[in-house]
Amino acid sequence: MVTRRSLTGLAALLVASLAVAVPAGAQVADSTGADPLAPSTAVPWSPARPAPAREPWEVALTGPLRLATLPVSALGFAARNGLLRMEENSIVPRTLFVLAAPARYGFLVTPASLGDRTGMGGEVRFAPPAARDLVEAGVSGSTERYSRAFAGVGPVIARIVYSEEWRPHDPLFGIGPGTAEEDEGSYSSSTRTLRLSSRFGFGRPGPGRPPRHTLALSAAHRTLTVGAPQGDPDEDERALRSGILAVGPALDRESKGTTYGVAVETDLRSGSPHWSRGVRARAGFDHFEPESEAPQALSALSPPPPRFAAFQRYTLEVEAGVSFMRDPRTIRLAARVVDTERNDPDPLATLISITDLARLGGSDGLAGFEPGRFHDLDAALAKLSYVFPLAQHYELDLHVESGGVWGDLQHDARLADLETSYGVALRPRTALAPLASLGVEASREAVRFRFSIGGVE
Amino acid sequence: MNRLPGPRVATIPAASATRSCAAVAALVPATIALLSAGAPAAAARPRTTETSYYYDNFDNSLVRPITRAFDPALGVRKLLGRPREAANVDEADAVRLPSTWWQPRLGFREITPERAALGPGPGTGPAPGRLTITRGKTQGVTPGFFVKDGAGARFILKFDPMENPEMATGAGVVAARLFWAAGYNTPDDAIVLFRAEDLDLSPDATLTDRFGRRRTMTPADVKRILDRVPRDADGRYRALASRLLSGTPLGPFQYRGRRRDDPEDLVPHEHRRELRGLWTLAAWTNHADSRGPNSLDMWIEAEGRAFVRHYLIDFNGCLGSGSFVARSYPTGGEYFVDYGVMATSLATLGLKPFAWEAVRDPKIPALGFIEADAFDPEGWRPDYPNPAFDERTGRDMRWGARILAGFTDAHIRAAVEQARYTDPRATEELVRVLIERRDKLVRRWLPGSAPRTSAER
Repeated sequence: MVTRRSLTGLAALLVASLAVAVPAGAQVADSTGADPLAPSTAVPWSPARPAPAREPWEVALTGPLRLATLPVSALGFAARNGLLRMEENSIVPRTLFVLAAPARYGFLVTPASLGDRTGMGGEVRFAPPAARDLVEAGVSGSTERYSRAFAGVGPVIARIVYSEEWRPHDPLFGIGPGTAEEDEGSYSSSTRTLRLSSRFGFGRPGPGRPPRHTLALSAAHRTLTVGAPQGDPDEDERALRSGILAVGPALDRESKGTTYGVAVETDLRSGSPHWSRGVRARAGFDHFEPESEAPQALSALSPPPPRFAAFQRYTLEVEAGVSFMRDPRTIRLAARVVDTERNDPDPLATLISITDLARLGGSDGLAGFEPGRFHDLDAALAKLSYVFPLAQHYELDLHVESGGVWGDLQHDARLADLETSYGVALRPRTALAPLASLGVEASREAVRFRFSIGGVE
Repeated sequence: MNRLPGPRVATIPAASATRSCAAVAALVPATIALLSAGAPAAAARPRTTETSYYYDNFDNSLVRPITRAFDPALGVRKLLGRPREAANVDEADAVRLPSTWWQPRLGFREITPERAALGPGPGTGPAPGRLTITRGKTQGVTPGFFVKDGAGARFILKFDPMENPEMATGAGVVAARLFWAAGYNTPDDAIVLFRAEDLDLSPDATLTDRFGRRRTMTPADVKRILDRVPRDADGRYRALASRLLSGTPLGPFQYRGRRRDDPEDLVPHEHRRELRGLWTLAAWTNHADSRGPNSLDMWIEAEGRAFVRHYLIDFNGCLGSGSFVARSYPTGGEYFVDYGVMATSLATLGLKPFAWEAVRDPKIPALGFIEADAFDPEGWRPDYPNPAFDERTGRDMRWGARILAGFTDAHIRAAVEQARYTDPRATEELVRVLIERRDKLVRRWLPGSAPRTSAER
């Protein structure tokens, strides 16, 4: 039976439906209820259609550029998803864990430091965790077939190290200051060394720094063979100019001898992120004593061959820095002098191996020149640097180097023989230290790019 | 049989009653359909978004600034002095309400300091008593736990670094209160003190290790986390307890673009007044961590509808705190990769001092580092560029400054006191710095408006 009550109920339902329906876009009363400070639960205001990120004229103006950079956008899309997957799968911590795993067993894997132009390489070192300061061994190699291996035992104050090194083609442009870039040749060298060394440190070290004062003593027996350089027909002439015959008859001859050395160093540098003040000085003296060679049968037709000479080498390095302003702007001056004196009474003892010569070029100094660009008995180098901050995480190193090589620094050195190299390097840094260096070095002969990770001061 | 008297009921002839009922019944859906035309259909939950921290940093630090530098449309706007204004404001330059991003609070209505200090409320943290660990948190920059209190409420506990007790937790609580009072949606954060013996470990508790593997959490895991946390003089641990937000998390929002599967998200985020104007609040609180990953969209079902609400979260990196280290002096003055700063420094060879080089550090570990003397109310910037901040105009910043002007000294002090610093110097210094920074911003963006002190409320 239909009653008035039923109809009343239906009418109420109709009224309720009116209350439920919400007109679109209306600024309805905020339905936060009793607390006007609570976040709104009402339908928010929205435009009738989605607002464009760019207006039509902006789209038209940037359209061609966006089309041209579509490949870059695709790369960005791939990078975003790739990095996301990396984070989701914890790739970075897993990789770091794998890389750190060998260290727990005493192994350390690092990039090789075999010198300039030696290719990509790696080094593996081993020091047993229980005797990390007493035993160490390592082997390194590179894609250019450079290699080095060593094993050492004993504490720092009495350590014995045996090492072997093979260098297949180090550059040689001749001997003396007047060599030409186009006369590039190369030589190979094989070295076996047994070294006994003692190192004593004095003074409280700074954070992450060695002791302030060190005394190092060493005696090293060396067997060295230098192989033929290539494409350098006038090397005899150049060698005679400096009074010695470093190449030619010295090729493919095994040189044996013992080097006795002593060095003292004082390091009073301090500051962060780069060292910004103080002085470091190092003075070294090495005496090389060749082994006696078996006398060769004399021939009336050929003169007696020259022998390897005993020599002494004096090395002096000094660098000093001063800074100003809170984030240090630092001016540094560094100088290095190498003076080699042949002092063998035997008139036939005129040979000094190429590897014992002082050299400049590349990381040896004058970085705008090719590695091994200049060889001779003596060398002198000065470097002026200005390191200043670009921003919180970057600094710039501007520097100029000037130096030269001579047969006798005291008598032959002339300002006209000096070569100059200029460089600039960008150095990412933390608050504590520079992390890397990426730069350009330039000289009258070349423009070279350099980069290094770690070991930046 | 006698019939009991029943209610007096009016009756209607059956045929006409039937026609009446049918008519009323037919009107109900038609009425609803008519009045509901244009209202949002029942919304489907948008999909959860993910973001890569690495990509976000890379894109905003390196790629986007270069893109903007070569954007012809941007160049035209700068040339003509016609920036694009926010898209969700009315003729009076007011945010069109309602909004799921922001609610008018200080600056638009009166709120007592006591109420502002409660934040979204209740502002008291976990209920007194035992806490049950339900999950470990080892990812992210700070360790922590997910816990449940005796009342069943769920929280995330985050801790301070060992070198700066109270720094991250204090900054998190203070900044959360300030951003809530400014109108934004924030979690309910509070300081909690507890002892290790107050913790229970749920048998179902899990831990995701650094390799992303989830496993059962053990007491050793709890100890390992707590060993990295400082304790107060009474041996208690201090944590920031962040009450889990109600709803379903959908991941962070981006400061650029919009969530396309959210029918209520029709304005690109970089053109929203709430996000552009957020710059002013971020500058005030030194929220250099203002970026997408420190946000959270929640799917809310309330009052008969379902929608997305947008939250700001993770305030541990605000004020003087960098979450796990103190903020560095350059924070706020340059991006991680700041081409402009680097170009200026390069052009001047580093001889133009950075603004931060004149700052004074009061050396209060609980504060980290935050100051007001070198604070630039126009040039402040986060760690890396924020797309919405990059689009801000003078109107956006004046809107934010209006909010700031609503904070009296008493509001600021009430919020800072929520940090419960044990060192009174920390409280006084932070209040002083926040007042000075507020005054600088208000003077710059609302010239002629004097900041309100507590006497003017």
